Amino acid sequence: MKIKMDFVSNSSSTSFIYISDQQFTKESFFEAIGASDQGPLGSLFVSMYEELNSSIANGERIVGIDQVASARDFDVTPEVFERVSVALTEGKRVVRGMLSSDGALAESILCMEIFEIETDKIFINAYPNYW
Amino acid sequence: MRNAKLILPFPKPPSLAEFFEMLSVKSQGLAAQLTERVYSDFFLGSLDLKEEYRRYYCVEYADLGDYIEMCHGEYLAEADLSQEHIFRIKHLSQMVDPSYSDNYLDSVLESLKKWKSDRED
Repeated sequence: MKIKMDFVSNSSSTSFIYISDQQFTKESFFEAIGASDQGPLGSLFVSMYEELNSSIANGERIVGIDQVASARDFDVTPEVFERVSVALTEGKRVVRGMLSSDGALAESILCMEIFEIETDKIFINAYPNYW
Repeated sequence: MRNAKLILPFPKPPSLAEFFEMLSVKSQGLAAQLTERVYSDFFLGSLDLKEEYRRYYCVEYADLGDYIEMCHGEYLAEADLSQEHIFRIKHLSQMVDPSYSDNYLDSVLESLKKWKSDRED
């Protein structure tokens, strides 16, 4: 779980970095997180996919490394910074998405969770992102 | 001692691998990361009241039911008292926290009930 150290309000948001040169599909998401949409928690994971998909679609498209290295450079780890840099040179789609703790359960869990999703198709990093 | 979020009478708990299986989750990945926390809430971070009674309170209270009712404010039927463990769960992860209206506590409990029932057959 992410822990906020300074001013705390009723709701907060966190960011994540998404890198891929392919469409973010439900199938690729379920494969990456190791879940089934048919199980008892299936609808939760479907909601997580929908929240991430929406956040990616509406997120900030990163087209230059300066967008990551600017005043907000504390929101990515050095490893993710390097991955973004490489992804941009390879012409991959890089997006900074946002999640709110004030959203529905699926979004709220994702907002507060420290996680990384990595397959040969997609990369999502939600480590020490800014609140 | 009365602020438990859940009292769960249960026979031998499932292994983590069995817990993943009943929830259709693979052992690696974000889904496992989230559901392992629920497993810990239920079976690792909880207190087994039956064991507590046996170790510390059997001198003070005439029977297990009295101990649980008087110390923990819960009345349990004989069938529940006869389970191998009675877990007192004080922390529930967000996914199963009843404070969230769309939580999955019932889904997880239903899966555990079915798992238990399958083994009793």
